[in-house]
Amino acid sequence: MTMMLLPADALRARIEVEVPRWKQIIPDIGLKVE
Amino acid sequence: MGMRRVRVIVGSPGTESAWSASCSRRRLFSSSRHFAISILTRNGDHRSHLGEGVAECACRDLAAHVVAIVVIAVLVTPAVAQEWPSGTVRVVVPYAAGGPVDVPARLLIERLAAQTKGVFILENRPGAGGSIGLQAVVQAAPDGGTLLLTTSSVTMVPTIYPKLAFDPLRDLTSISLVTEVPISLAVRAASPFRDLADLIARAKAEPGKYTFGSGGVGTGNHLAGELLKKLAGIDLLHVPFRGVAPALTALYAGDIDMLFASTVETVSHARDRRIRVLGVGSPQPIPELPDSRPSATWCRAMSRPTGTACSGRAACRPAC
Repeated sequence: MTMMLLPADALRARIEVEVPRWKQIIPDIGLKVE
Repeated sequence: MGMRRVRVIVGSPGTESAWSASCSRRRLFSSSRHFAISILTRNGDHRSHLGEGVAECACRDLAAHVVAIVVIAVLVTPAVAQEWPSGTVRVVVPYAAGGPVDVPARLLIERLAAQTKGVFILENRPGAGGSIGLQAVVQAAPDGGTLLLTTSSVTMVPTIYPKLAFDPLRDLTSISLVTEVPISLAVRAASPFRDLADLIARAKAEPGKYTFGSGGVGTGNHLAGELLKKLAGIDLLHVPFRGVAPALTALYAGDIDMLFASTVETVSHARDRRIRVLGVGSPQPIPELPDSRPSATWCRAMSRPTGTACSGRAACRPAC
């Protein structure tokens, strides 16, 4: 099992990708939001 | 000269995969196969407070997760080293003590304190899928005195709790990703579910009968369960708990039928044969969890009727 550690810029880039992805997925799975 | 290296050693299992997102179903599920543990700080803190993280990686199996695995080398200029930490530093963990975020946080604090001679205090602020702890950090002064060690739920909170008006990119400064841990799906040892395909078949036969637990609403584990429901076309009732520990207790007691939790939280229980892990969000099998299926087979389990024999590798490829 490989462990990976990302520097700050890579973490930020990942967050930039993941936030809109979850914005799309969460309503799609029918999760009730606040 | 000019730079001082502060070495911080923390440990936890993890994996990084390049799981192909070639279809919408797989793309959906790949988003929840891990939760990532990250260090962030209040935006407005000067980045050089902690410098640019320089990562060194190590390979270990799950059995070695309690020993030092990851090395983060934090570079600090002499001037910054003089000023940081200038006072007590709060390290906020938005989850309960003893969990997979809390443990590496304590190791991190121990090393940071030893290296910088500063005072670091861990604060567990659980609740609302990590959003309570997030709020505490966002509302803190941007002076380098507050750090956040959290999971990938930081990317989900803006959608789940829109009233918080929280934007991780605007409100937090990224420092480093510490580790990635596969999510696992566990059932109690005496569960009738033989494997994931059997679980799905039974859930399809009796919609609404079975329950899944998680460490709370809006956590990555909760969303993994919701994704399974969506992708497999089954109806499960979500039962949220205040952390994974009480959810495990409920699993033992038979109060819930299955539980989504990180492998950090399930592997020791599986070793003791108190639970069985049917699937892990890892592209490779985990030797310590011999009953589990890696992520590549989850899609197949969702698309292949129980008992269908695979004739050759092609027939066993994920259908999605």
